Amino acid sequence: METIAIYWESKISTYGFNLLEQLIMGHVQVPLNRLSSWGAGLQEMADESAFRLVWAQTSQQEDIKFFLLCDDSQWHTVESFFTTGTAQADRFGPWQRHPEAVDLLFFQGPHFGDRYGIMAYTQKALADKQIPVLAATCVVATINLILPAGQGAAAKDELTCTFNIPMQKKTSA
Amino acid sequence: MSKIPINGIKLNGPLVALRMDAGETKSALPAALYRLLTDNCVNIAYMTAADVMPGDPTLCCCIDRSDADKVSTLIDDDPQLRGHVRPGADVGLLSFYPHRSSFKILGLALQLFGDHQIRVYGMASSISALSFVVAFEQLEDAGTILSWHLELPDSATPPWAAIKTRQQKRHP
Repeated sequence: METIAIYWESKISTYGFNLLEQLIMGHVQVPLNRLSSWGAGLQEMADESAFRLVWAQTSQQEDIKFFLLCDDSQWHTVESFFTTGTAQADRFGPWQRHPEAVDLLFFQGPHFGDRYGIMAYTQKALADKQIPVLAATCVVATINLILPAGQGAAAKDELTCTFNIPMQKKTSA
Repeated sequence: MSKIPINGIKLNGPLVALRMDAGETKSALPAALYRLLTDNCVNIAYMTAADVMPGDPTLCCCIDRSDADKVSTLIDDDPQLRGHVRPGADVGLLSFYPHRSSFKILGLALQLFGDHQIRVYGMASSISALSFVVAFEQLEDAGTILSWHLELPDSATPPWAAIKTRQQKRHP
């Protein structure tokens, strides 16, 4: 059965913005044919070594590059694990740490995973204010923006004006 | 070893992966691609982009396969994007949740995909889910392999979405 719905909004709605500041970003390159060993190595890390964000993409050289965002204390755990770690883990790396800290701004909205135009709308708003984006991911209904440290608050303020946040509007009325 | 409990696995596809090597021109190209897709009502089902690694593809973007021919033509006609964006393999998106920000659950999935020669093109975390871009012909197998090693609740919903969304601009 087909249902046709017409949806229109003058401003794209979101459920709100979440900002994590002063995170560490690093990446490591792993040969695709050693994915299994890499996965085994990750499992050896202690459970408390939690990530804030991970993503990966393959390169032209049959490698896959993993990016990690985590808190400073977690970074030291990860880095030392892969530097001095076990037989599984020490075959990879070294981790390349981004020289500066970063901020992570993430948000989601109704059917963001199904609707076109959200990323273009976001990118334009930030570009108009000359706020640089180091990296971005769109996964399921979430958009993650990785910004230079100190730019997250400005980006959040700008996007709060650009997007409609229904709950916020109701509260202030 | 006890299975790690999760709440669900979702599959999405077929999709086509667009890969961009922005090279020297860097950050202007992703914006141009976002705009091209928006102007033509094409949804981004999945995307990762990073401006921090020169020389490698800086962007991986998955769109519905039904949009792929149209988008390829549009890219070829676009002087800014032509030569920088390459349509790639047919892929699918496998997501499972929650990930609990755990390296253990991430590592298990990667180990399983590696052991079973599941071709992985990318992965990313969202608030609660881990999503993997895998070869479309292996998507069902990848879901089955995960379900063997993770504990799904009896109430888990089917992996394929029951509702297919198609968007178009409203004509006056």
